[in-house]
Amino acid sequence: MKAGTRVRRNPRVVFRELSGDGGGAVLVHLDTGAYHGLNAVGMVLWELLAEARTVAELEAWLAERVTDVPDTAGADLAAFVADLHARDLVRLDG
Amino acid sequence: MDGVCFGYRVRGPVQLRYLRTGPGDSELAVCERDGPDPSPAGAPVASWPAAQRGGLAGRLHRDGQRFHLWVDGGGWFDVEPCRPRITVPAATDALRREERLWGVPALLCFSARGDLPLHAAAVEVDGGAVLLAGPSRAGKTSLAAAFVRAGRRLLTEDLSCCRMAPEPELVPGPAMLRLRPDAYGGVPPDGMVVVGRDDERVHLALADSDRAGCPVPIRGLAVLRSSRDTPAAVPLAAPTALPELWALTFVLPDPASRAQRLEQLLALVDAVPVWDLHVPRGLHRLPAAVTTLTGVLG
Repeated sequence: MKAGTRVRRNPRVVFRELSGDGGGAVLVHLDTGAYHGLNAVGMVLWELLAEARTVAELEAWLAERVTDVPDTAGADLAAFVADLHARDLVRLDG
Repeated sequence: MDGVCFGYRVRGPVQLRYLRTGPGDSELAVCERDGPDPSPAGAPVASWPAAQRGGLAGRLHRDGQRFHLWVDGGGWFDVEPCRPRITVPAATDALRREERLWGVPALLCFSARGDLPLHAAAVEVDGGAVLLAGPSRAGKTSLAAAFVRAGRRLLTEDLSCCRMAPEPELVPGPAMLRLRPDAYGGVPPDGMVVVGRDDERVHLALADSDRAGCPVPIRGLAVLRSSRDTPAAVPLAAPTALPELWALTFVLPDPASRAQRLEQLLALVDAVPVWDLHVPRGLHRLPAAVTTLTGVLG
């Protein structure tokens, strides 16, 4: 995935943060009914996508705010975005 | 005919065996078809696969605000949730026809009323409803029967009507219990009578004294798991519980229905405790599962 690829939410997806123990969040695709859980990091990334961002912007955000970022962070982020795209939860441009 | 089911005061000429007592909060008309069967055009909005071990195959068609449900071996049910009214096929077997009536046709109506349909049995424990959720053949009915044998009241056998405002309540369903012959044990639980038998099920109805149809506050929800070990009730956090409960929620395939069901399910899981209930195999071990779940309710 290119650093300049722009990621934006699919507007047909509902996001809800979970309260109580466990945290995380839920995504439901309104057109398919598919249910997807998000852990805490996934939830933060989804919130970042309230406006469209490039993969490079997401990486920079992680590097800036997360301590002890693992060497695989870039690949992990790309895999996460690719997974969201495969599930039709986000749209990619460029 | 005079009685309630899923909060509806049921009116119409069709004789029904499983109604409860109480005032109800809205009316449902049930009438018998006196014209030709419908012939819906287009693909169904939902379908159920070929029957397996007594399950029912069928398909659901939508025609604007109206639904046509075909049940293999049962005929066409027309459902008009906005009126609400259900037209049932002419009876060849009135008991089975009623049992089908209180499935998908009824849930289409109470869903439109704003209630949440969940694939769960429910029993009353110390004034509160406990939901026993699981897919078909998870053991909901057998466990519900074990609760009834332990002196608890049956609220619904297979389909739970959950009302979310202001606090979660279970609106009791039909006063029926359908047990596999091997799960029946030869003697009906106290307060129940046998009203029918076939190769697949023994059909039981609640005695009049246990038929109160008023909503009951929901105290908890147990997701059934088959286990080889001793019974256990393990608290289930929302991130784990929700995907399973989502799969057990009847959702019409349209965006508005999905969005509403999600909000309701989140509200339910936020308001009541959820447990994984590990139920050992074997009917003789069900009383221990009843004791375990009753114990965690406090």
